[in-house]
Amino acid sequence: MNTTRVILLVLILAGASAIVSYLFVNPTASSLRPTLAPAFQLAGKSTQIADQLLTKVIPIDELDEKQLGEAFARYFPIDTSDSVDRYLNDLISNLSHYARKPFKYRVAKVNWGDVPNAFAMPGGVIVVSTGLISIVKSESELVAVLAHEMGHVELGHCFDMMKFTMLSRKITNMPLGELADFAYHLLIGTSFSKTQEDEADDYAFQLVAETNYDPRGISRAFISLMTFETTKAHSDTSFNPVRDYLQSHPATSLRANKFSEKADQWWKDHLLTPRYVGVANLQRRESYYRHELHEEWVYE
Amino acid sequence: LQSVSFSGRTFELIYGTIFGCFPVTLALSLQAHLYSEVVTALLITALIIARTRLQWDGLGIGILVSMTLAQLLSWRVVFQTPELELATKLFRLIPLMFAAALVLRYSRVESIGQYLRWPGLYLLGINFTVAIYLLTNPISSLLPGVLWLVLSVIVLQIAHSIADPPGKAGGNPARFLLQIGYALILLFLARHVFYHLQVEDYMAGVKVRIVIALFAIAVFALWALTRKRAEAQQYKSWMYLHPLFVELLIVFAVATIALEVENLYLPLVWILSAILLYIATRNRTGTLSRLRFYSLVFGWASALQLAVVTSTLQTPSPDVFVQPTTVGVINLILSTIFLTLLGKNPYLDQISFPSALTFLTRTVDLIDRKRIAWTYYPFFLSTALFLYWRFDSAILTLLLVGECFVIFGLSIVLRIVHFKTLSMFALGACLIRLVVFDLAQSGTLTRGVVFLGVGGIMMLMNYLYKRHKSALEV
Repeated sequence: MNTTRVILLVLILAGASAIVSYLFVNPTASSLRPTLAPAFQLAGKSTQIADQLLTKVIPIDELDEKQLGEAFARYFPIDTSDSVDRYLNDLISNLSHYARKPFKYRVAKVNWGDVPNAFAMPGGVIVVSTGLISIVKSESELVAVLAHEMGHVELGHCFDMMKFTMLSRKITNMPLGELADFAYHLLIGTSFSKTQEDEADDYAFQLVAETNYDPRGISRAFISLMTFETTKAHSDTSFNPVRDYLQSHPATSLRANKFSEKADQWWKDHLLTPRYVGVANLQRRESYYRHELHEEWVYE
Repeated sequence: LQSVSFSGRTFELIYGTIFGCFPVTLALSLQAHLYSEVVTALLITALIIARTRLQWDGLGIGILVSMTLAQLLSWRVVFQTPELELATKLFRLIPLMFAAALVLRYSRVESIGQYLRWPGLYLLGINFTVAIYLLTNPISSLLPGVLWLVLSVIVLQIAHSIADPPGKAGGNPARFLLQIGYALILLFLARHVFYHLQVEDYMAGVKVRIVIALFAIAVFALWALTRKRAEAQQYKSWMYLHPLFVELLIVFAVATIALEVENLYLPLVWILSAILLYIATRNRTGTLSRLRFYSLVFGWASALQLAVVTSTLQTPSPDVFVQPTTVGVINLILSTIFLTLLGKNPYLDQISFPSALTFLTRTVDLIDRKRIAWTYYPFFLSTALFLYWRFDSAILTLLLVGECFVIFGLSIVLRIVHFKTLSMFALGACLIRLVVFDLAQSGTLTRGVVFLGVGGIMMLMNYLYKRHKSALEV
């Protein structure tokens, strides 16, 4: 036996002892169900590179996206006399300080009954349903949702999805309003891929970590969504590779778990840093930026 | 029936098989009892001893049928009663494992004049695999996969160390042990994809699934490093499957990196992998020389990621070290180092692939014929695209002239004369852009900085040209 093999063998045995001992003492994930969701997410990365390359080759740019954003803004007017609209736009205008794209971010509220949903459109227009506002329990959760949608815009996912529509507009001189109408129906019917959703989640975590909000807001937003799904009997955790493939979003439980663990790690590194939760702010529809409440600051 | 007359051999086969199946009926009737497996194993042991003495082949067949069915019954009981204590589970699993070991030990079959090792080895292998699952899965879903890898290492070590004389008389145990090892690796991979990848828990600050992936990489490396002993038999698995552990290791590592590392840092990881792989194998001959080709593939991946993803990536953090621009610039420096390393050696010469991958030899030959183009131009193009998509058009000319300077520098260092021509043409295009675009559209300050920068770089190029004129005109 050569020396390298012997060293490797010793390392393997030591590593195996360490892992097995750890797992015996800390029985991690003792009741997992099989899923192919992470594997499909990984497979999506290669197609995403091809998609991004195509987006870059097509002659449309940020200016086009900005113009489309203006058209969307007309499609989704914001009622400045409405406290929820004011509240949402107050939050997004403060979050958009961290944005790099030259868009004016706006949030429009839509009433789809109790359905919790939010989506982003090119040019920085974010649509949030009243159902979503009613299921989140704090401002940090709401901020996490808005940051996630901002992530889709900043990372160019909306642009990737709309590229052919925007190109056809350039070629055929389609009026912007007509394009916005078409794009709205396109975006409402389709979804971002699992890989894009994962990227937007990571972006949201980074953004929330940059603000004063509690990074646990992201996992808590997912937990709120899961609670709604369970209540509405939408939850299905059985093994189903076809569902795993077709699902646009990674499984909510996996996302909640991922960001809960990430937030725990963040708190371990920032033990003495207070973070804002904003339960009362959400109830009052008055953002932390306007009214800071002492009792909303938390430590680990 | 009286008219039917059996020969001795037929009698042995028929009655042997019937006798051999007796333990199944016993196992079926006793399955609810704690001692079921002990009693069944004792009966099987008695039959094994009888088969060795009598050498009835039918008895051997019956024993195998009994063993298989009795084990299925035993596993079903343990699987369906997870509340059983660990000691009880062991008490129900061990007796039949012992019987499987006896099947392996007493496997001499006189009628064919050789040992029949595979039934015992397969039975033992399946027994250990299932036992690991049944005993450890209730504790943690991550344990079976890790322990299957450990078992594969043990199997590999045994296969490598046992005397495996030529011919079939010895029963070729190494061959079947290797097959069990491959099956264990496949089981681990399936387990990793279906279960481990969804786990987000941390172990000492590192994700548990990353720790398991690193452990798996070490195990694959051990498999890849293990060679057939000179005196051992040459099996097809040693020749065709075994060398592919290098590829398995690389593909697994790439998948793990792609899943765990943020998009921002991926081009850096790919280019560092390319450099390390090249340095580790630059003087290698034999089939490991193929890693030099893979290092070029890593380089291409880095160039593609830089141009397509990093060039337009956005991050909300103001920290300079998490900016795509910073990462991109570091990547360009590392790419230049990589290209310089490649240029110093004819790195695609004498690359050989293992038997299963010989079809790649032709691809490498084709690339080698246009080596300069395949090696350098993807990086030049990716750099230009990165600069174009990442930076403001006001300073783009200056940055592109900087790229021309690097290409010019490479022509001196690597003595590749046509890079000089390429850099001159590119510089000419940049000067046209300077006049047509920058003069017309940039602000005064930007225009001044760009003009001064471009002028400075051109003077430096002129100085270098004069100094290395002889090298550039060869």
